[in-house]
Amino acid sequence: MKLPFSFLPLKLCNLLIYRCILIVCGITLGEAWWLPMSKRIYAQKNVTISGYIRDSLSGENLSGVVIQARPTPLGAISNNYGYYSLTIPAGNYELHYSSLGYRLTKITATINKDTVINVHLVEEAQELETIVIEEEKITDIVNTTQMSVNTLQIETIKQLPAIFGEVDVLKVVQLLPGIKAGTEGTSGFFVRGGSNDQNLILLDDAVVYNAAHMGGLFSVFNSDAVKGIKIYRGDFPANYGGRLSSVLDVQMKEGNNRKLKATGGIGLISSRITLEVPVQKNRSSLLLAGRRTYVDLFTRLINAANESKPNYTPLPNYYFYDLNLKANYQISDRDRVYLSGFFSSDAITLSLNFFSFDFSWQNTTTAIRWNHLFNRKLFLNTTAIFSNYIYSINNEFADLKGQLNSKINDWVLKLDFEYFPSPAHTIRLGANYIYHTFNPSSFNAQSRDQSVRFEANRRLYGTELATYIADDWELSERFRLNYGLRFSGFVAREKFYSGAEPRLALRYKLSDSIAIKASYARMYQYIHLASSSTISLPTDVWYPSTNRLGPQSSDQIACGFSWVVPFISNLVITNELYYKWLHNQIEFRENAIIFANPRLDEEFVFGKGYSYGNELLIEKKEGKFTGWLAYTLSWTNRLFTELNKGRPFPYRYDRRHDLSIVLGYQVSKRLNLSATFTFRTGEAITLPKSRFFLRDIQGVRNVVFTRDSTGRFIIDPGVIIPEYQERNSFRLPVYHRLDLSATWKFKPKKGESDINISIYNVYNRANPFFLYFDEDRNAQRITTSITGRIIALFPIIPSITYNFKF
Amino acid sequence: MYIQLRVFLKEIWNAKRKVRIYCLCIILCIIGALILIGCLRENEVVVQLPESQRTLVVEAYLEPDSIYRVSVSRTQPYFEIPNPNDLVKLLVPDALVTISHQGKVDTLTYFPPITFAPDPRPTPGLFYVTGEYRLNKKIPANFTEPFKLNIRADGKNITAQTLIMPPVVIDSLYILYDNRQRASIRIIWQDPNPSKLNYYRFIADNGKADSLNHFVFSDRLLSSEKQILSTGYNYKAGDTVYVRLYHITEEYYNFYRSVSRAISANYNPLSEPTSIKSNVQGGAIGIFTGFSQTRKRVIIPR
Repeated sequence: MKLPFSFLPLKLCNLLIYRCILIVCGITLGEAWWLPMSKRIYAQKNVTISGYIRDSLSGENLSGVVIQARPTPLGAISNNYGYYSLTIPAGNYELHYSSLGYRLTKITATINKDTVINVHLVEEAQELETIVIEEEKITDIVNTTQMSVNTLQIETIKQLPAIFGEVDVLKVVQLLPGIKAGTEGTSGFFVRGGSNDQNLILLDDAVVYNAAHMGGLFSVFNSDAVKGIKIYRGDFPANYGGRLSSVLDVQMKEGNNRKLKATGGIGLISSRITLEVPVQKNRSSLLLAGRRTYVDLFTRLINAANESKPNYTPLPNYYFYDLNLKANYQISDRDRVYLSGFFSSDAITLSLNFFSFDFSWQNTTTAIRWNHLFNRKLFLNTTAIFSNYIYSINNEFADLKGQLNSKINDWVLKLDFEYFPSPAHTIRLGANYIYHTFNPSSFNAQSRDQSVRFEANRRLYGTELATYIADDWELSERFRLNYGLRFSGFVAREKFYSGAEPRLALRYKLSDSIAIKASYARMYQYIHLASSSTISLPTDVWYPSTNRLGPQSSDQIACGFSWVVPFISNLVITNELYYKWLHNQIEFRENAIIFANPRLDEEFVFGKGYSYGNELLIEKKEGKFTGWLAYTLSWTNRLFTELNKGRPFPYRYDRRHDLSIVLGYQVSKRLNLSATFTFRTGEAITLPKSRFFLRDIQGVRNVVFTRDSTGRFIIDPGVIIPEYQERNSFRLPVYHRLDLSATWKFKPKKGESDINISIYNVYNRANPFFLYFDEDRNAQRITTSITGRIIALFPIIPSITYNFKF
Repeated sequence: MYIQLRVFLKEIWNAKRKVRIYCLCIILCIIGALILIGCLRENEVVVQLPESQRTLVVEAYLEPDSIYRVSVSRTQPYFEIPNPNDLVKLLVPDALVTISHQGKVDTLTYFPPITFAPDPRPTPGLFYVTGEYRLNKKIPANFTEPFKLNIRADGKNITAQTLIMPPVVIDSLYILYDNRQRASIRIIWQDPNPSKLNYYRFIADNGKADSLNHFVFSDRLLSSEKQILSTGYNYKAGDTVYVRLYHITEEYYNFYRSVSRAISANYNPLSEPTSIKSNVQGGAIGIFTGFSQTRKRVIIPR
């Protein structure tokens, strides 16, 4: 494959390398090196303005706030912890702080020395009636080099219609361009032709390995504990790595550090409650959130009522719950620590008199983060993380006892520096270390007298290392460059894998409202998800790279534009073209042995994939009328020598057209309406072309003599076996669906409360879930015809949720 | 929260009549929807499948003391529904079928269908239907030297090779009861070859369709010298159950698994359809394999 570097002028490449070396030296030697280079822009004495930007009511950190020092074009953006640093020549400025959903804050100041300005932004929704758009907000989208990214605030997500009324972050992610939903109703997602396991799902920097409850019907993220999400589908910043296709960064709320708050909701499936406790006003806070389902309460009641019936088979009990904890403490102006914890658990139990079955799965993540400011220009975040995913099945059948479980454990240490030497540069560098422990399948079963035993067990370890450096460099007012390099490695059993991952993004501003962007990113993935099924199941197993199983990698190029449409306020159009190569992709070989197999690496086959397409996003984020339209036109194929006779075949979620329209309308202060519409090409499926009869060994089939209408005996030819030939060569019919929701705000004496009514699949479309062939037989049990039938899962589903806050 | 709820209910109550009706409608909608959920909807759909070629299908099972029997047929397009009497046309009567063992080559002769022959070792209710190639010669109990199959048909030369697996010895067999006095049969046998993986097929039935217990499995997870297998609680007092344990080859195990998966892929939305794992070479699908069976007849005591 030709690297896309070839289209860069050679001179620029040399310059990049030169700058990289300089940056590394510069950070170690001090700032002196910088002066001659910045001289041409800034002749005067430079000063630094820095500080934290927070919400005026809750004290939550605000990231992504654009800071501009008017009248100059110089500016900065606050980082994930709300910190910003802007170095500018001394002088008089009007500082503009703007962020979506917040009022534009202006501060006029004469700045002659290094100054700390902490800002509290006021939420816009609080004064909706008197909304006047005073001035166009500075839109970061034209300024930044970053492309292929979407940010969503939890408030936006909460207003959209949700199936069973359960607000689900991952279902909203599926409505964004380039991101495909999996099977209907599940929260798995597929980004730019990548598979489900190529998504790095982070909750406050900790990896969540199985983000699904109820086999994917709901995600594990409690909407009351989440602040917002950010999803990258390309142009990955150098601080991210380890997965090929996307990074979903879910940020937990910090908790209100000013006053005690309780938020909660009662829904059809589950209820939730969140407490925010200011431990020390303005310095520390604590957030506790919990959610639980009630399905098992009903099944228990039904089982208890029928217990006396002799032939009653009890229903299995199912429940899930999740807990979130977050605490933060501001030690000093320079130091702040955060503790995030997350635990989710699902369980199914069934017990009959001679048979019992107990299946549970759990996610645990814990992250401790320490923000430290060395000086106004250098910010350090140190993170220690523990992540764990485990499932276990306990089974008893008469005097036989069996146990199957699987586990993945991570210990992570991360260092991330952010350095703001001048407004033209933001430098990020860091390193991380992950120690993985895998127990892909541990199985043991034995009879009570121990005379018969079954066992399978294997423990695998892997160490993942990475270091990176990246510089965001404003070459001129029009041209901006973000270049970086990540170097990653994996220590597997008796083998070391490593790779250099260059990242590059360019922006060229045609005017203040339109920018052209291009990017390239290479990614490596050292751990793999062995999924035996087409949907994400709790029994999917993570597996490390081994001697037999190398890392997956990908190269991706993208180019596009962002245009802030001048005549309609707050309307942004983004269009991107991309091409992605996927190397060393894995699939199970046909008829692989998956159950309790600790040597799964012997069951894989290797191949490659490629995906290309165009993604259009028209978005309006503010005003009474908000929403977006996302349209993706794309192609995705896979090529495996051992599958489909070595011919390329479409990926299951290869969808030619994928359209989502999301609309929200604020009718009044109390009523909010929203609608989502999705339309997508049907899934690629495999159907049999021909069939044959299997006679089988003697005496297996109970052959019943049948006579035809004339009274003659008819041959029983055997069992019909379908013969599948070309993989994914058929398409299910198109999928489309409209959902509506309305939120009505009450005015209780204290606090806030609202009621949300959601209708899923408004026009009751029978969307295809699965296609099978049914044989119609006559009275003589002779097949008369074969009919294709399609099963649809979800009809129209209205739901109602009551939410409160006080 | 209690106060909140009370406020909420009070709000509804105080709202105008119109709103009250509106609320009632929503509640009715939800109840209606909950009834709707749970019933899956099915729609018929017309599927156009492309033309497919008719491939040869070979099936031959060698068992010591039985006679040589090979069936040769063809695949048919998936939607083709022939008249039941035309099913004969799927059989291939003009092939040249030979089997060689220990350097001796035998040619099999074709026996047309609709000649019912009772099972050489009759089991109540079980019969087989012919339409196959036969050689009236006992298969030797030779577990070390290979058997080779050669078929010339449709201009193709189909070859396959197999060994016959030796029989296993069932150590013990006992009957377990659940609290409703239904019986399950358990067998225990010695691992015949602990250094290697062994593959088995197990069948137990009392001649009724719903009581058939049928497993194909390997001993890859076995860590003791004894292997165990139990049926479900499918039998009742007075039943005569035939238990058969086949010691099979790895190739047959793979073939059988792929066949079962192909059948289930049609009905299981979560499984990925796969192709048939054959052990015959030269452009046909099918299986040529040898096995030994161990049989037990069990009468569930009253």
